[in-house]
Amino acid sequence: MGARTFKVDARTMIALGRESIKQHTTALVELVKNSYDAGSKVVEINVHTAAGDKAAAFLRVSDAGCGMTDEQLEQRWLRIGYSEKRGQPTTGKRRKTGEKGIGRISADRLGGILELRTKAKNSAPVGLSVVWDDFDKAGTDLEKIALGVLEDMNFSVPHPSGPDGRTFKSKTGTASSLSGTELTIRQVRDSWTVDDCIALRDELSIFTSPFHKVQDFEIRLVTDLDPQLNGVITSSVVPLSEVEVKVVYRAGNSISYEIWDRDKVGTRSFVRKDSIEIAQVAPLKIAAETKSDEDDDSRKTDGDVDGQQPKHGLQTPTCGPVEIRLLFLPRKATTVRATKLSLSDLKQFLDKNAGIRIYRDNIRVKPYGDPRTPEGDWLRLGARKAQDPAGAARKTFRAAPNQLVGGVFLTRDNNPKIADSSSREGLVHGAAFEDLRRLVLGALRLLETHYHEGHQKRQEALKAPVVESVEGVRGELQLLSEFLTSARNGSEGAARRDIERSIDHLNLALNNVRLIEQSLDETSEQATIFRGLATLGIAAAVFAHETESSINSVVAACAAAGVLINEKPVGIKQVASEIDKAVQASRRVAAWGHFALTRVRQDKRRRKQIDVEHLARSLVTSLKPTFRANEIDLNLEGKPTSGLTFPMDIESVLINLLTNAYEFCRQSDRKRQVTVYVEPLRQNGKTGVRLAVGDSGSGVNKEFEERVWEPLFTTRTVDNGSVAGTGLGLSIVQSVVDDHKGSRGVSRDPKLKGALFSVWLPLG
Amino acid sequence: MPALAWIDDDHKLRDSFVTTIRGSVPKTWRVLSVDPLSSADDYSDWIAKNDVAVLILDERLADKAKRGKTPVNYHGHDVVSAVRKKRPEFPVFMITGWEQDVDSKKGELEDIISKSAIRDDAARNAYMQRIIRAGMRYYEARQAEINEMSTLAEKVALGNATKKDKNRLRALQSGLTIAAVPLVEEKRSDMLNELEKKLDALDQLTVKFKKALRESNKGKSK
Repeated sequence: MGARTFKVDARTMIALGRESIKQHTTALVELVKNSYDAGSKVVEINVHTAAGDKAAAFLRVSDAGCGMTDEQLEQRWLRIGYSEKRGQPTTGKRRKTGEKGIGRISADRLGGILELRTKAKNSAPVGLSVVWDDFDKAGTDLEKIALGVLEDMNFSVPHPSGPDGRTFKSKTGTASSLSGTELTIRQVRDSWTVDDCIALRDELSIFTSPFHKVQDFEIRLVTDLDPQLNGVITSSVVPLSEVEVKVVYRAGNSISYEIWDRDKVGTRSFVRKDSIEIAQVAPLKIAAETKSDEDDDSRKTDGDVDGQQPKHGLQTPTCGPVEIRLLFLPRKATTVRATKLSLSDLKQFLDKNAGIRIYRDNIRVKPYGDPRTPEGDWLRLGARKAQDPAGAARKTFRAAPNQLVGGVFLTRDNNPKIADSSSREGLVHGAAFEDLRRLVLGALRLLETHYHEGHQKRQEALKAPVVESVEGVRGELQLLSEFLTSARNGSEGAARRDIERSIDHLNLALNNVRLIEQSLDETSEQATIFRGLATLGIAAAVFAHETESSINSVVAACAAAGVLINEKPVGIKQVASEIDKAVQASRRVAAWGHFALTRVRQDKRRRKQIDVEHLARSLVTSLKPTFRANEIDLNLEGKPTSGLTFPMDIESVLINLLTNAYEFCRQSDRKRQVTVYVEPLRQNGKTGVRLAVGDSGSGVNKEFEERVWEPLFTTRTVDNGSVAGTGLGLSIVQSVVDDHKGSRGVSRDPKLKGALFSVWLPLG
Repeated sequence: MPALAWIDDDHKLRDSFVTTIRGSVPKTWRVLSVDPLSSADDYSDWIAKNDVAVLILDERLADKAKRGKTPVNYHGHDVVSAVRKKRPEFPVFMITGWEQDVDSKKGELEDIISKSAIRDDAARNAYMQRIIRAGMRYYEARQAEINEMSTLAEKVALGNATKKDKNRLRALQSGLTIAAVPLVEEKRSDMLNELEKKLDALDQLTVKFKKALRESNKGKSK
């Protein structure tokens, strides 16, 4: 009597198979993944629909991978949940994809019958057949269901396509050197369509190498649906890359390069071709740091020394001619825009394929470029990124290693100095290898710089005002209206009536567009008002304390006067002095009230002809007492600047900058000063006004210069360390700048030594 | 006699407040209305020197400055921390317009009072009573210490002090920041000699006085 064991119900197969995979294309991709993991250089997929004849239709996946022996078939393939991938995650050196051990059951989703034929090297072909419906019997033990035997276990192993695209296969027969696996699926459950094949091609396009010269893993499709669908599936990765850089180094001290990138809608286009001195993108490392072949990877410096001067003058690379191709694919949803791929597809691809690989004669040299291994990260991209995680907005932007796919192409003949290492896998890390590294990092620098430069443009594109789009629509509709009108004039009868009706519809649309534009104008006006009110709120939060303080002074002074008056003898001078204090303090309270009330006046919300300097001057005058109460000297240095603009927006900018300055100059020990600058200034051919506020505080840290404009970002702390300030003032300024299409910046005030915030706004 | 000290950089407001509270303060007390000292560390000694029994101060001491000078670079809570190091029992009250900045330090203060709360006369008086009482308690406790000190000093002078007494005396001396004089007993002999001389002088004076008195009486009875 043995111990109890679990039994498995046969129906489990159904649950794992057809019931767990929704899409038939997905099921087929699962089978292809198995071929990839078997280390096959090629897999051929047949989708044979036999013009709808279900009996004759079949699907087939055949590969030239390692295949299986009889024992392996028995011990592994027939063992559900067995995955040799769990034990050894790499085939030879290729990282395996599936680890759950149930991929093969996805065949159930595809068809009622599965025929497996497989052959390992120096073994005879073996096989079996599975009728999945046999398992649709609840209550029966899985192990009691016998699988079918195949009469003919020979099959054809595919070879990689020839350069002319011709394909051929070899029958297994007794050819002992061949190996591979073929899965044939009959009683196909779905009717495969052209669209399905296109979707299949798309999903599989992520498995092949983006570099067509490289024949890592060829996938080809053969179908009777449409000859145009047949053929090798090419990688879709290249068109997905946001930036691609191709660098060619022949000799000397310069490289030539080409750059491609993608526009807003995802269309890839050529940017430019040029050449550049190597030293400009990849300054020399210090010679002493170059190690010989017994080097220790973990002690390597990353070789990327932006900004450093070459120590020993120019040194010509000794690696020989090289071609470098780098593709940058940010792990964001925008990268897969205008494609059928999903972000998770992209991430899956990058997880397997990200890395800059070295190919010699189009054959991969391991381990360079293996993702997530230290030996694979031969450029130390991980450390490089960690040292400076700046985003694309910064000049020192560095691409993260899991977003780069690249290839470095060498040949044995032309790059003799790059030799194989005898002691381990890979190359000798000598001077030539270091030069190669340098070149690749230089190419990377080109890529990063281009992406950074494009970033600003992209940011602006993202903010593309709705207003312009609506104008565009109106323009198009009007053109259409004109066209239809002339068409109507040239027609008669029923045709004319049809056109008349179209014109009516068009006019309705145009009317709606006008209403939209009107509504946009109103929204814009409202935005101005809300900004004004928000600014008032922020100013109140900052300055209201002064008001509170002034009221305390009034009350205390009056109380003191009361006490003094009742003393005997009465000190009239002291009484007068207390009353005077009360009066002064009351004036400050009144000033704040006046300031608050005049902010949101009607006439300030509309576009008007004003003298900006005049506006600034009255603002400064009304705020002077409040600033003085805190020992801050507030001044204006202005020049008359007239123009057409929204007074409230100008005030929103100035008040927010002033409340900032008010807080900032309390931070340092210097004499407290704030100066407002107003002057006319032309920018990009437009007349405008420069508004700036400088303070005597401690300035803005360089790393925050961009971030201070973000909503809710604040570096201000209350003196005991907790956060003060709303972090909204500057984002209001940014909002005004965006609406008016102006510009803004922060630097150091040369006289006052603190921060200088400047804004330029156009004046009509 | 003890003093109540009010520290605030806003001298106008401070003077007005001080004028209004003078009535609440016992006649024997002094009221000091003071600008912030140069450094937070100066307060402990200043309190001792001026016999301050209770301190009122604002949190924000750096808003304004004396004419021609820059504002100080510390806050009310810094003063409290510094004073507490040497005088854990000393009462400090904060009267400020910035109470939200100070909550975390509340444990170190007797109380935090907002300036707007004391606009009302009744409220102001009530707070002042509390403040005076706290000052009184501290002062009385300190007086007790001073008395204890003189008793112990006498004991030492007479040679009756135990080791415990001497240690206690030292502790009290350092606590009151009196310059630690060498324990009396070491110079006892000098002191005794001094005493002897003074007593002799007194004796001689007494003799002269008696003589003069006798002679003036003689003159009278004639």
